[in-house]
Amino acid sequence: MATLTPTLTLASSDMNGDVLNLSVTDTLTVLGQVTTKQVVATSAGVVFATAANYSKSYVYLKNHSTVTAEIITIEAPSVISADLTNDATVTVASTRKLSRGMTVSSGSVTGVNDGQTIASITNATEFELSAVADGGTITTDLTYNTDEYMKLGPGEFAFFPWIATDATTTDQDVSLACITASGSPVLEVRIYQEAAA
Amino acid sequence: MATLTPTLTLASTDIFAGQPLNLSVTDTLAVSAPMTDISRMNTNDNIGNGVGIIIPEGTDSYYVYIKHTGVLASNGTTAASVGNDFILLGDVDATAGMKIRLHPGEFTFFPLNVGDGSAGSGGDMGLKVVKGGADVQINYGFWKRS
Repeated sequence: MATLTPTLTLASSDMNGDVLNLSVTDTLTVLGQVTTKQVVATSAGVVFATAANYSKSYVYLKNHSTVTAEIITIEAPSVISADLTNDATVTVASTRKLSRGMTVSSGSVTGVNDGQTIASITNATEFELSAVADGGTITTDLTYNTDEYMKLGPGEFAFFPWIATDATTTDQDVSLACITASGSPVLEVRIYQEAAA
Repeated sequence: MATLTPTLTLASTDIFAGQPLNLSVTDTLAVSAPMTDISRMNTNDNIGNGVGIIIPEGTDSYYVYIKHTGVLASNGTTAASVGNDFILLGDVDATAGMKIRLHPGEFTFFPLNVGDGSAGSGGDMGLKVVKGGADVQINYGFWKRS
């Protein structure tokens, strides 16, 4: 058995009338995978942790860049099968993980070019692309760059318990990817899995 | 404008054979209002923007701290179930991508991305807490990125 002890302190002397000096710690049992690596964020997005390969884990991320513009966004990519009709309407099994503004890419499927976005969510199974698509059936999955949830500026870090694969809330299984709009910032990734696989 | 200095250490003496872990990272963050210093709420509380919503959707980015206190909301003293009474964190729609799950005693600190500033159709961001089992108490704080 291995024990991981995270401690977070938050300090500020000029925020309010009193001094902020918070310190919290925890004792975590980490029996499974441990991943320590650096990945280079790109504008196309890089998946650095696939949900199916992990159970609940504790994740530490840090943007190692020192360039102001090199911001890394942490997102959850989704791949969902879809059918096209003869307009911009796309039918999927569920739009639950989708939201307006998500970027859509589709490999070589005619009519759906990388960079298109979801214009609107129509209902539980249909959404509209930002531009009209050709008709036909998509033979490969659409990939949606979804849920850009964290924004790491240069030098910034995050620490959070990641759901990864969870049998009780399967709709929340989300992989982790990083994307940047500028440069090639390096993201330090440390993952400590709670339980042995 | 104010300065927030977060420091995180990760330590372990037995995670690797022959290689202790002793990571320490700190940062100096410029923050401004709106901000909420360390506070407490129940997962079924409405603190102004809807039940469980800690940060409303909008176009600002925030540094966020959340800790599961480990006690039930019902009386503030009964210990929460370690396995069942977890909390999930997601955007205000709470329909997708809730990748953070805190069990009793666990905490998180992260920079929340900006939302699209438009309500209801996704991309909203903001921050909402959703209970897993019983309602529990959490500590939280958030500071706008300056």
